[in-house]
Amino acid sequence: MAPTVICQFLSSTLPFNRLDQEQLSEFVDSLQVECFPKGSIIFRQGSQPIEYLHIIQRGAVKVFVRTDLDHVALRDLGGEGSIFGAEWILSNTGPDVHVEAVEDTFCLLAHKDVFSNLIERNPGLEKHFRQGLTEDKMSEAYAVLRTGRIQTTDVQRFDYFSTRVSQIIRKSLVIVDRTSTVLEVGKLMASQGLGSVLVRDNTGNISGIVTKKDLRSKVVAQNLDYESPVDTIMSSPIKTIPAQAVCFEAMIKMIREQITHLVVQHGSDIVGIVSAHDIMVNQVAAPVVLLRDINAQTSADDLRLFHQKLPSIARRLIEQGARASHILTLVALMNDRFVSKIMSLAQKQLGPSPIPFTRLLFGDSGRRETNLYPSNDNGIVYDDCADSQQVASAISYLEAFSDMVAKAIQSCCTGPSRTRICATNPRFRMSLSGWTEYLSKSLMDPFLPDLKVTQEIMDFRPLYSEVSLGVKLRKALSEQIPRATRLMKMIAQDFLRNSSPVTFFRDSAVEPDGSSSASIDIQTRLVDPFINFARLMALNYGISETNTLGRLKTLADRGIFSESSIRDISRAYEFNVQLFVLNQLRQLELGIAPDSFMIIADLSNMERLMLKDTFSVMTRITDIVRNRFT
Amino acid sequence: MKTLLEWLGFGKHELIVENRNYFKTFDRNKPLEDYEYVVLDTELTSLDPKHGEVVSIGAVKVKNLRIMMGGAFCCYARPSRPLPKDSTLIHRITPQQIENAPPLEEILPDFIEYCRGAVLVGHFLKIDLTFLGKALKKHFRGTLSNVWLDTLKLAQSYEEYKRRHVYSDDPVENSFNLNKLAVKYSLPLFEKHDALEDAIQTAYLFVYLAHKLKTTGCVTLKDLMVSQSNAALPSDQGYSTA
Repeated sequence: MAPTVICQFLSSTLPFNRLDQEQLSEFVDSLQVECFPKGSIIFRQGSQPIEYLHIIQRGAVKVFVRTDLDHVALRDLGGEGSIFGAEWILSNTGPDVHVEAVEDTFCLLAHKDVFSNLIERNPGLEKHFRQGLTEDKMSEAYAVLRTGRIQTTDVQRFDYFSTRVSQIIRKSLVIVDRTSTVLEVGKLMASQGLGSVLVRDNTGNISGIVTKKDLRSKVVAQNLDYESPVDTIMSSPIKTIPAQAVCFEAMIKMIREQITHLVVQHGSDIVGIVSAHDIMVNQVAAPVVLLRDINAQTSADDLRLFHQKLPSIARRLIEQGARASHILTLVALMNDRFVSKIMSLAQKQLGPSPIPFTRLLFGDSGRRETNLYPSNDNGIVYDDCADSQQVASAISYLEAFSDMVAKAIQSCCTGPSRTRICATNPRFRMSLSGWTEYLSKSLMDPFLPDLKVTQEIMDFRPLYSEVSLGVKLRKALSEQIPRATRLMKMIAQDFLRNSSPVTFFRDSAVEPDGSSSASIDIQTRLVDPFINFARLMALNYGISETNTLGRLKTLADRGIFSESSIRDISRAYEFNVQLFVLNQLRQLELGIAPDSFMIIADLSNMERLMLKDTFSVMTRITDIVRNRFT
Repeated sequence: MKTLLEWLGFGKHELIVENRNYFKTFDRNKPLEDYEYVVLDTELTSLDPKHGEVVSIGAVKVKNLRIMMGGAFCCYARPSRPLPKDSTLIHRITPQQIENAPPLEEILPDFIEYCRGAVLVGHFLKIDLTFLGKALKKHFRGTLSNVWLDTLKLAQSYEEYKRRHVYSDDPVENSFNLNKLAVKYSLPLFEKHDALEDAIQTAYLFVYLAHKLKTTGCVTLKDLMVSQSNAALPSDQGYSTA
């Protein structure tokens, strides 16, 4: 006898849409309906544990906290389908917010016993109501995002974000003595069809690895005596990966170390070898293949395809279960290789630099969080040198070099350049002491209009040639930062100005002042606050890591924040990044020039729920900043 | 004219007698939340009181001014004459649906029991009570003595209050049709012309109006009853359950 209208309403309301017809009717039969006229308080902050779960059937409410007598902070707005009270019932606590009807509102009320019983019978429902971003909830949301935002192509699935290294290793492990000759090892590898063998030293420990590539490049190409002991050509020490690591981690490690084989360890035991080939045979358009392509190119023109291929690679990875934060790291790594290749091609033309130098990557590149359209903000730092003539020639060399590199990169990229900070500007092409002085001035005597650029520069990371210059610069910076209290305050104030959490109401994004709009800028409103928070904390606690997730992890490792807080912050950040990347991919697929704006009406219920969770995390981080810096 | 025996209650169904006795001393001065309400709607074969019969009753309870979705009352009754075609067009009950339904007199005891101690609420309740009363009188020699509230009159009263006290650009409401009121007050909308769904729709309207009229000073049941009897539009003074 359950009224159809209410059954239909709940059938389209998460998570009740998961109930079967019988359970749904039974649930509807247990409901009560209460009317809350506009202005009435439905829940009161700090009151007793509640008796009923409230589901808004019609109307709207605002959720707010009263921090002191005069200050009221809006936390959320709820409309039809919003659910209140679940987390309080589950944790048997009273409301920690006020909920007030802003329109005449009808709520469906489920008694706490009915609700608990429903959860007991349907354990899958509970995760929707647990506060915070649980792993289950995240996985489901990512799956919804994947299927909802991009059309999946018909590819054979190899999920190398969940496939363990141990699942693809070759079991037959061949170990030779270090005294074996190159000829013996070559014959052995050929007869058994091996791509690599491990080399054991006199004590029986594994001391190195010999691959087919070593035989080719170190023996045949260099006409080495076949009777030489194998340890003259082995790569040592061996690089290892734990057996439980996923294939993606193995791939990242190979790309970083520029190697093709990894020794797989289970505890301290060696259980096998995994090669790039092993991963590639499972993967059609692997990033590894693209990287190989980048290395094989001999002119900037040949690299042009690189950026065009990025979206299809990102899309393939997402279909295979990758999280956007993985993709950003991977794109950053690939972009590093691409930029390095362009620099080495430029040096081929210009010859070696008169003074050692390195490229400084700023902003997203510096943080290894490059999206499909890298900004490629950069500078150059060269070594200090007493010889003024040598310095003069280095300056003109690096000017020509920077121009050549910038033009080559621009010619390979599609769309307008996003680069704002570039070594073609002499301001960002300085000696080590020049940079140290510049950064020290920015730290001690901060200038508000430069604050944004200063923050992007703080995320610097060296790439190419003399990277130790970057390390020295980071060290100099770290020594100064503890005294830069004024800068910290300015960054904190800037953060608080720009990080006010928005909320959703029906098809609009609502600002704390009540203004609303139909779209939201994902980058500035949903992603940047997390990046800025992690940077501010990293600077404050002298953390040299530049990657946002890396910075957050260090904050937890050092015990500055609890593991659970950092987990929530990281998950919220990752979710928003995922939304950003998927939004860009979707725009590309629709033939629209990608930007970072997302239409609220396009969001699914699941995405809205997840975003609301990330908003509450944003509220928490703004509170942290407010308490520590103001 | 009632006979002396009838006055004394002889020949009346015991439920009718019990019902009458209960409401003799019914306290109307308690706050609205303290009463139990039965919000009802009937579907009829015709609006003509001479020939029309009840073919379906739907009702829900309201306690503490909350609508109880469980335990609703809903049943079909087989009329003594075949369903006229034009009535099927309105309530969409087909002759097949009521073919095996019990006659109304078999349903009524359960319904009287369902309404025990409750304030009856309906939209233009006079119609429902007229036809129910006709059947009750015929089969049980008596009528319901429950106190009642009519949402149509309450809506008129609320609109009249707004017209006098609240500045509004809204046009003056002339139609007090249940569905139009539900749209006007932004209530969730239910299926039209199904006794139970109409009863639920009326229950939403009732709790909405009860809250709104509380702000005008109607705090007790008596206040609401006075308010509905003062409703400005065509009055139905004098109609009874008979």
